[in-house]
Amino acid sequence: MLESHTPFQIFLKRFFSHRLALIGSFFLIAVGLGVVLIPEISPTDPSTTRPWLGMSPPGTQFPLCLSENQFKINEDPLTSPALKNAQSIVLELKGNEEQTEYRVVLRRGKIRTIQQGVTAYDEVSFKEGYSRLEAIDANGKVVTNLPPAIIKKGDKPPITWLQNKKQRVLIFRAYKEASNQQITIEMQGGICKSIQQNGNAIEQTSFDGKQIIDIKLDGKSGWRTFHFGSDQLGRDLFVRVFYGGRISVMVGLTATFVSLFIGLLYGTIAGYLGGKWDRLMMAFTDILYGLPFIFLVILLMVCFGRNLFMFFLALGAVQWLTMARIARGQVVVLRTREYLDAARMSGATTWNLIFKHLIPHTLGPVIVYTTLTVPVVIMEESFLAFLGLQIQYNNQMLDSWGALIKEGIDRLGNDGQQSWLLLFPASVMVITLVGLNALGDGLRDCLDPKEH
Amino acid sequence: MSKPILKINNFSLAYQNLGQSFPALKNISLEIASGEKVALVGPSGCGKSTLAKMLMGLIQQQIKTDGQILWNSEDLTKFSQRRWQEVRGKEIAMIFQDPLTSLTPHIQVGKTLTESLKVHNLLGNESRINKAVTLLEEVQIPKADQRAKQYPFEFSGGMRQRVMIGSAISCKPQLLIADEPSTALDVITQEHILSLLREVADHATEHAMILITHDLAIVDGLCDRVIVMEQGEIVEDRATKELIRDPQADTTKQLLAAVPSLNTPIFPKEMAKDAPSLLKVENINLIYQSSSGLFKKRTESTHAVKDVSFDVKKGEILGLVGQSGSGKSSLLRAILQLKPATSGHIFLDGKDIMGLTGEDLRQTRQTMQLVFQDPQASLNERMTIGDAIAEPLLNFKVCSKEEAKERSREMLKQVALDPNWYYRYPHQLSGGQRQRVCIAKALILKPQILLCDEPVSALDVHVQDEILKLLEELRETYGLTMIFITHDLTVVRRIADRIMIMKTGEIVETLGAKEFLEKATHPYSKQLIHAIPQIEVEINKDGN
Repeated sequence: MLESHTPFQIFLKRFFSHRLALIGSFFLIAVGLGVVLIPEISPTDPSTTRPWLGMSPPGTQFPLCLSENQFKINEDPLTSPALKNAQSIVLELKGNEEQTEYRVVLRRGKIRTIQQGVTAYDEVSFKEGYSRLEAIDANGKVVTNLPPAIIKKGDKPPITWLQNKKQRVLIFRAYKEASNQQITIEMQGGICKSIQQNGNAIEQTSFDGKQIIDIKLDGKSGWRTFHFGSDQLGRDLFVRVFYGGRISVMVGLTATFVSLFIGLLYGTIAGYLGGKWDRLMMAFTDILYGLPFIFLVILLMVCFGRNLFMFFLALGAVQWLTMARIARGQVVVLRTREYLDAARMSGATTWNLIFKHLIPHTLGPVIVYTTLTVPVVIMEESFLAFLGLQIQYNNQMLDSWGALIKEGIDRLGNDGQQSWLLLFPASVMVITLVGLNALGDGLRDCLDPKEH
Repeated sequence: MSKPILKINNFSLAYQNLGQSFPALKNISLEIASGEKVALVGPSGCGKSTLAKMLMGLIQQQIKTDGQILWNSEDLTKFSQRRWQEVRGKEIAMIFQDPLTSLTPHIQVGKTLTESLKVHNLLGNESRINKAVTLLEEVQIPKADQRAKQYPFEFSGGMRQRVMIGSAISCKPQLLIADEPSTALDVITQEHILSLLREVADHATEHAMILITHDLAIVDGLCDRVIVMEQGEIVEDRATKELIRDPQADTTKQLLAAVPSLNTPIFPKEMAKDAPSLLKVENINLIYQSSSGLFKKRTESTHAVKDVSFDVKKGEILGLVGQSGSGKSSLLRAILQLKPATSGHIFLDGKDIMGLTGEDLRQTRQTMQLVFQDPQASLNERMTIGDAIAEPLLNFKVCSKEEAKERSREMLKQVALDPNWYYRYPHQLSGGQRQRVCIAKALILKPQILLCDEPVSALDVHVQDEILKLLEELRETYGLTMIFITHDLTVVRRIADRIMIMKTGEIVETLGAKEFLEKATHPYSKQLIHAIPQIEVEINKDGN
C-alpha cells in the first residue's frame, strides 16, 4: 500500500521546500514579532518626547526619564514608567544654575535703590562667585556677558551695563554656577520612599532630563540607545516604527478580512445563482470598479471623520471587488460540477451548499489573493497618510508607516542630514511588503493543483 | 517474422514524488515487429498507460528508469527533446482516450489533422489542405471538404475520435499507439470506431499498432497478439486466439470472466405481479432553452425528453438503455427535479411531486436517491469519505453527529470497504472504491427508490463486475426499487427486470429482460444488440 497524503500534508511538504515562501515567511515573522513584542522590547512609548535630544542620529544615548521629573516622599512620582518601576535610582545631575534678580532704579545717572524682591541693599558685589551677569532694560532688551563689577547706592553704574543714558530702571540677573548633585531615590511599589541629595535626606526634588549626566536604575545603566535615531521632538524612531507597524498591519489585516468576507460571500452567491442575478450583481461591481476609489475614500473620510472604523470600512470596500470576481470565477466553474447535484440529492440546503461545498473549493486562489491584498491595503493606507489623511482614534493621530515616511520626507533636511527619519520606516515597510508578496507567490505555487 | 522495430529490455520505471518512489513498471521485456498488431491489456493501474506514454516521451513527472527501450536500435530513454519532436507523429503516433479534450478547441479540424505533416515538413501548404480532406474521407467523415474547415465543438465525440485517428495516421507512422480509443464512447459509436481501426490496421500492413484496453472483447479480431499486464509486470504474452481459448494467468482469467456477454444465462428475479407501482411518470417533457443576444432575444430550444410515460413497481429494477444524447440522464434529472421538467406529472407513492420547491422538494430526496456516473466528479474532494456518507443524515437531522458517524462506518462495511477508512479523502481511493462510497452515501437514508445513472460505465470491466454484484446484494438486503441507466445492454440484462430503450428523447421499446434478446423488434434495439463486442470463442470451439 502506498503511503498516502492528505491535501494539507502535501501542501506543507511543498511549502517547506519553497525557498521564496520561506524567505517571505521569515521576513514576516521578524516584523510580526517586532510589532507584537515592541512594548516588551522597549521600555519607552512612542509618544514620550525628549526635546533636548531632537533629531539625534541613530546610536545616540538617552536617559530613561521624562523631560521633567518630580519626586516627593510618599507620593506617586511624576516620571517615566521605567523609573517608577525601579527600586533604587542613582542620579548624577548637572546642578541647576541659581539666578538672583536685582532691580536698580536710577536718577540722574546715579543709583537710587537696589532691591532684590522686597529686600533693599546699599551695596552689592558681583565680582566673584557668579558665572554670568545679564541686564534687561525697560523694553525687555537683554544684554548678556556683562563684566563683573560692584554697585553702590549713589554711584554711577558701570557704563558697560547701560544700554542708553536716559535709562531709568535696570534689571540685573546674576547666575551662580551650581555644583553637580548626587541624588539617590529609594522606591517601593511605585511610591517614593526616601530621597537623598548629596547624602542629605530631602523632602522633594525635581530635575530636567537634560540635566542628567549619569543615571543608574537598580545598579544597571539607565541609558538606552536610539537604534533608529530620534525625530524633531526627541521621540525614539525605533519604537515609533514598530508601533506604527501595529497600525499599518492592523489596517492591512482588518481591511483585507472585511474585503474577504464581503467579496467571498458576494462572489460565491453571484456565481451560485447564475443567470440574471449573476449578471446584475457583477454589473454592480463593474460600476463600482469604474469609480476612482482613492477619491471616494477621501470623500468618505472627509464626510464621516477619520476614525479607525471608517478606515477599515473604506479600504475594505475598495478591495472586495476583485475578491468577489475571483470567488465568482471559481464558483462558475464549480457550479456545473456533479458533486453539487450529489450534495443537493443528499438534502443539502442552499446555505449548506455554499458554505460546505462551494467556499472550501474557492479557498486556494482566495488565500493567495488575500496575502496579496494585505500589502495593497498597507500601501493605500500609507498613501492616504502621506496625503495627510492619517487615522485618528480618540482625537489622537495614529502614526502608521505611511505617516512616518511622510514625516521623514518633510524633515529630511536640505542635504538629507536626517536621512534616518525616512530610511528606517521605509525599509521596515518594504521588508514587510516584499515578505507578503513572496509568501503570496509561494502559496499560489503550493496550492496550485496542476503542480501535483 | 520481420525485424523488430521496438525492443524493450528489462525496463523498469518508478515515479518520484515528494521523496518517495512509486514503481509503475517492473522488468518489462517485449518485442514488436513491424506490421504487428498487439493489444496491451490489464486492469486500471497496471501500468499500460505509463508504458504508452513512455514510448511517446510524454511523461511529465519525475521518474527513474532502468533498462532500455530500443526504437529501431536507438535507445529511446536517452532521446533529446529535439529527437523526440522528430519521432512523435512521424515515427510513433498516438490516439488518446478522451477525444473531447485532445483536440485544440480553437484550431480548425483540418489544420489539426495535418499539423504533424507541417511540423515534419512533409507537405506544402496547398497539398496539406487536400490531404486533410483525403484523411477525413479515409476516416469516413461525410462532406469532408466542408468538415475540414469546422472547429472541434461542431463535431460529436465519435467524429472527434475519427479526426484523432486521421491525425495519427497522417504521417504514416511505423507504430500507432491507441490508448483506450473507444472507452469514453457509447456502444454504437465504439463499434464504429473499432471497425475503423480494424480497417486502418488492415490497410497499413507494414505499420505496427499497440492497442491499449481493459476490455478483452474488443481485442478479438483486431489484434494478433495480446500482452496482459498486472501491477507493472507482464503476466502473459500470447497470440489472441490461443489466449482466449486457454488463459494461463489469473489476471487473464479474471479479465475474460468479466467480459460481459450476451450468451451468459440470466436469472430474472421473481416479481410479485400485483406489486403496487412506486413511481409513476406521466407525459414528461423536458425542453432546454438557451437564449443569447443582448437586446434581441434569440432562443434555441432542445427537446431532450419527449412525452415519456412509464411506471416502476415496488421492488423492481428498471433498466433504461440508450446512446449518449438520447435523453436518459435528462429524464433522470427531471424525475429527481435537479432539472425540473417542462411539463408532465411524477407520482411517488401516489403523491404528485411535480413542481415541488424548497423544503417540500428537499424532503422528497429522503425517499429518492441517485448514484452518479462519475464517482470522482460526484464526491466533494475536500470531504473525508466518512463525512460524505454521513452528510445526508445530518442534513435531514435524522440523528446526532456521533450516531451518524457510527452509521457511516456501518455503511462502509456494507459496501465492503474498511470502516477505518472514514478519514480518507476520495483521491486516495480507486474508481471502484469511490463508486462504493457513492452507493453508501445514496443508501444511508434508506431510500425507497434508487436511481443509478450509468454507475459502472466509468469503471473497468472487473470493477464493473464487483459493483454490479454489490448492487445485487444490496437489492436483496434492502428490497430496493431501482432505475438503472446504462448504454451497455450486457450490464442491464444482468441486473434489470425490465428494459426500456430510449432514442432521441423517446421510449421506443419496453420489454422484460428475459425475452429482450429474442423479442426486440425495433431496429434501434437490434442495432444496440449488434454493437456489443463479443468474444467468438464459443463459436470457435464449436468449429473445432
